[in-house]
Amino acid sequence: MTLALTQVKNIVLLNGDLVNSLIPDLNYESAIDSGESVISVAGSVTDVAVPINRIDVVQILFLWVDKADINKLTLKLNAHTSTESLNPLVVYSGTHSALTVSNSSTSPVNLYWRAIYV
Amino acid sequence: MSKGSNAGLLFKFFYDENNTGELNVNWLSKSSTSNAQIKVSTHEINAGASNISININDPDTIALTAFFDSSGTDVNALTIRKNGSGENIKVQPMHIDSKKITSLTASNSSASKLYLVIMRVYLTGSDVTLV
Repeated sequence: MTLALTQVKNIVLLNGDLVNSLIPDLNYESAIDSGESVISVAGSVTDVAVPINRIDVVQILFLWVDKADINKLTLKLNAHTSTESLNPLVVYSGTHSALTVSNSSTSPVNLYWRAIYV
Repeated sequence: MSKGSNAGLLFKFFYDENNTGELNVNWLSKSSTSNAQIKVSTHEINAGASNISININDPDTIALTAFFDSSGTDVNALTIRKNGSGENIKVQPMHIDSKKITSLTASNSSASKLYLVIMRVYLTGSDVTLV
């Protein structure tokens, strides 16, 4: 979906009350929302590419797993040797060149993602 | 610091086309039987600084951590490393992680002093629900 004059905001509710999250709003003259996608990561795989189209122009990338799958998946950005565990959510800003995922469990795990392209 | 009696956190992102407010996405909520607290700290990161250690208090009760560069001008100049990783994570304009952050360093590749703002949400006995 292409959006014009898009503003990406975040809000934090604490105990039902809106609190100032301090994280800046992001304003774009135009943006494309990928929509929510899910991929099934097979059990016991290592460094499988996450098929995010044009990750090199993604500005905001949300990645998360179900509660039951916390700490089963690890991510590698830009072919770096370090990994990031998903427990259960991470949000990246800025562009990246590559993203791979590994699954430490023997069962398939759903990896959810959503991207904002500018 | 904000503190509540009935702990619960809803972290929500949404975007708004022409202020219609039609699109609205919830991303993460956490709840707890104990109190929740939000703590915000600002850290000066000098020009050219590399892997400056930043203290994280009470990491065992962190439910969510948000990092961002308050300058908003030096794209990608400010980066962080988490939990001993060698990966430089961009914080321009933000980075959010819901796992425990036990160690943190920051670097500034620009010629100007930058400010790293950290917002942490602390919960004890936390439960996680994606909504």
